[in-house]
Amino acid sequence: MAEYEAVIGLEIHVQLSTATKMFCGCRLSFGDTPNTHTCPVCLGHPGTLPVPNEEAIRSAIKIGLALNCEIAPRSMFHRKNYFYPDLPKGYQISQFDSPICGEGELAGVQLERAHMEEDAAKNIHVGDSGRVHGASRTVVDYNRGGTPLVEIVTKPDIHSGAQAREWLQLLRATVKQLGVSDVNMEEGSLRCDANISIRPVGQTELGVKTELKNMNSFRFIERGIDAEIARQTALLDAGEKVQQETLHFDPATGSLTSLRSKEEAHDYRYFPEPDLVPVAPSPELIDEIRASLPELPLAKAERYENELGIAADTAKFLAFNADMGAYFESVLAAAGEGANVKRIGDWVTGELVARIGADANPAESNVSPEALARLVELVNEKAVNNTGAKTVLDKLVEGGGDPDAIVEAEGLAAMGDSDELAGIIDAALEANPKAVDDLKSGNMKAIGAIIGFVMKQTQGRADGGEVTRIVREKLGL
Amino acid sequence: MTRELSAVLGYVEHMNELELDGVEPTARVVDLVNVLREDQPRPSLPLDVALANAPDEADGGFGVPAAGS
Amino acid sequence: MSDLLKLTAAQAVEALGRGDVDAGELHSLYRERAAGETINSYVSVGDPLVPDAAGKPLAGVPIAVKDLFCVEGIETRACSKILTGYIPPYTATAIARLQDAGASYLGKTNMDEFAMGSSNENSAFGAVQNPWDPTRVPGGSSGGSAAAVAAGLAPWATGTDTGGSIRQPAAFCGLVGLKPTYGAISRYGMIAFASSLDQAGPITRDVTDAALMLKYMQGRDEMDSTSTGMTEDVMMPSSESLAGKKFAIPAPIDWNGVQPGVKEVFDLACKRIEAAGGEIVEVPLPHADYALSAYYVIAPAEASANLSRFDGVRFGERAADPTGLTDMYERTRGDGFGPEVKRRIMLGTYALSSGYYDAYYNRAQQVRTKILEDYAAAFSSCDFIITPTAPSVAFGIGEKTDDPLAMYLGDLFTVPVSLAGLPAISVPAGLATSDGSAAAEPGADGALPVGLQIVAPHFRENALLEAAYVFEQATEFADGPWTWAGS
Repeated sequence: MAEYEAVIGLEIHVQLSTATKMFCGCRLSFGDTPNTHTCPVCLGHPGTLPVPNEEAIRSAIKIGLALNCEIAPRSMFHRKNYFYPDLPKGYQISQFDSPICGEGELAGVQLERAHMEEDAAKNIHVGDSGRVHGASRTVVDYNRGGTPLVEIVTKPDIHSGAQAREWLQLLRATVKQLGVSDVNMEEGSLRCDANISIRPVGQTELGVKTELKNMNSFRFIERGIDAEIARQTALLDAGEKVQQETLHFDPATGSLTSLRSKEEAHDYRYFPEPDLVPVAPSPELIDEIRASLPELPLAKAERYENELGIAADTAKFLAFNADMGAYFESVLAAAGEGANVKRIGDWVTGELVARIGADANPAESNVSPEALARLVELVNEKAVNNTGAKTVLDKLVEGGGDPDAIVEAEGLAAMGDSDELAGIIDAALEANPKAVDDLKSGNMKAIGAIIGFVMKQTQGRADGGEVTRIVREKLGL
Repeated sequence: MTRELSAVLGYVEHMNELELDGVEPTARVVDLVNVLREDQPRPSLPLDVALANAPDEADGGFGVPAAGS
Repeated sequence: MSDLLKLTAAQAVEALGRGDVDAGELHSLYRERAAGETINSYVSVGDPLVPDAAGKPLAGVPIAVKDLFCVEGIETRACSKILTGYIPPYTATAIARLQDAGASYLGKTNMDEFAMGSSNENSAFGAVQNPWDPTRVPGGSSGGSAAAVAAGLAPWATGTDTGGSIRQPAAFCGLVGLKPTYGAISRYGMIAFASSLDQAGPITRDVTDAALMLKYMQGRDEMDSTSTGMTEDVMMPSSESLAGKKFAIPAPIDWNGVQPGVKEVFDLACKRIEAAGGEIVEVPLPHADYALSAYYVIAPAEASANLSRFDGVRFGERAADPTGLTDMYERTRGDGFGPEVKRRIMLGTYALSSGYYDAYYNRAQQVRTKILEDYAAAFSSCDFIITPTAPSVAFGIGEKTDDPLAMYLGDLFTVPVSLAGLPAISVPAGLATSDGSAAAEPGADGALPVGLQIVAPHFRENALLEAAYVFEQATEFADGPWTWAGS
């Protein structure tokens, strides 16, 4: 059987978080009473005209610059024509052959373009139980209609579901860092479609592609793409052909269903939107926006790795997760000069994430950056051992507070090189003559019994490393 | 209708006589760029006004036959 | 007849200002005439109440509004079945400006459905009769506006012009019709036919009234990205001579398609221009001949998208009991649009469709570029370009309804100007016999008006109005039917 290579291109819709819609003054909303954010313009009333939102265009340029795109000196809007109740004018104002952002690149994935458009409204489906007897119907809510979108299109540069997921997470972090979108997949402010084809390894020509629509979580994107690669592989292996079609991935069953075939594809009849004039950002405006860009995740990950000496994976995790990154930097700031940066990174990405979850915003947790900074400092000073520190963190996550007070209250202070510890170790050696013999004959595994005894006696406050050091000293090992 | 459309299409093919290679198309005659709006909210319509013209007002929205049918 | 009916809008403003005339009385007079008319020029008549316009520049002079303009609270249908019952929640900027200036709203005038037509026969409300001869069309698409003004049912009216829809009915009804430079007047609230061509403007009894209405309609509007407003203040025309002005006849004009009577009146107009001090020259407009082809691709293409919003979901009339979404679209639009509108939607959809875009739409836009270049070159050697407004006098109702192409060919002089977005005015130039075979003397039985079209460079409306004013003063032209239709 042939070896295949998957070729994947992504189309990502980012809903901008401007105050108002793309072409009218209605406020953006999410979850409000249907049709309370509408006006004659976004309802497509006869005679109304669109006027573009300046801030949305700035945001699109920001995204373009962050993705290293060429910003077009002159771009135009086009009408994309099709009928659907969620499209009030019967066409969507979008961009066609002159997008605001041309070719770009992010983390090795080449971008085709990024363009501006307006979002569709929402169809709320009402089932047979609705008030019309026996007929299912749809109710349209135009609140979302006209929300500004930036559509980012990659070249077919991605080769697996996992790569798509990781890259998309970077893209999300990048856009979030720009502050131009909530990029929340569950709420639909970040949406992703994937074009997927496979080809025998070594072949340059692309295979027939299918389009996977509207996957609403990073996990589903990875699973959906992998499922489609598997489906295409099975087809080719069985000597069948891949049909060009649009598919929906059902995460509950893992199945793919066809939405429409190539024959049903629309002819959108794009033509220049005569109601709008071109967008022509001046070089000065572009420079001004470029200068205002914050440090972006990719650069941040490099800085964490190279300047702070954080392991590559941890650095990426912090940099690509905007909330985590911001929290990490707060902890660093609280810890002050000379802090153990690497240990702080490990505690944030390891212990804290294990307790609050990778998707949570640690700034919203009970653990203040100051508290975590202090806790890591206590560990550094060996004032509390790892086990004790984890207990402190449990308490912090549970109800916040001051680490010193928790150590005191819970009696978690580490037992350092003290007479008390020495006495307990003596008792341990005396109580475990076999272990002492084994140690003396070079079997270091036997230390476990000694440490176990000490820990039991000290209720875990001793530091394993410290105990080992003292035992070695006492036995002259 | 077909006959009339054919007549009109036949007439407009008159344009094919012209040599137009390299001529930029003109989509609009106003020579303007960047006519934009500040991102300032304006009042939306009250719900009853928004729905007042709806041929099928349904549950606070615009009713249509089920999509996909 | 009432002397009040003889007042032009500008004269009425003065009389109202002096207190010689009462605004309520003037409004009632026209409103009652509009309500009792027999030529089908109105589709609805407004409130009898007059808003207090004292001290405002238009002082309460009533105005008739083409049904293409949205007026808050007034059914607005663009004379289409598909917009039955549509009550706009807002008023078009151009109309709101006139109202703010003190114009009182008189009623909605008949028109070709969605402004598509040159005879006003494509209206869901039926054809309009030309006050000069009730068996003839008033022209279109602003036929109701022109007929109402010509019949003394309104002092003046708003029109809209996409390919000649102000100028041609003005010519057919013996009135002044001004299509301003594209962008001078906001299109917000004017139901779109072809967005890159549509422009609102006045239909009036004389040039002064046209200037007056333009003054209060024009202006940049933040609701219309393509609006600029005039680059200079609109002045009331007062020139007495055309000395030093060059009026160019475009070459070549194929006079074979023009009625001899129209040609005769045009030649006479040229002589009058010369007599008033103007110079007649020729300029080449080599691509004008291709303008109709380009227009009948571009306008339907834009229209096909502009009319997609009429789907029976948010407003207007929906077909009864649709069995599904596709059925709703098909029957709503199938029943709601008239044949001419459907024809243009089909033409436009075809011209934009994959595989035909380059041959039709893109090519037409290239022709448009050449036409703009032609005019730019022409205006380097002349001040104005003149042609007849239309190749014929008003034709009979029903005469051309079976032959859309013949109807389209009537737009040959107005369409190139629209493609270039230039300002143009149609001024009454004289009369021709009812069969168009020869010029006719004022007062001759059955004679019909012929218009002169004067075209100026972008935003040179003031110069255009001055020239038209001088020409108007130099022309012996019978007063319109409002002087004899009265009683």
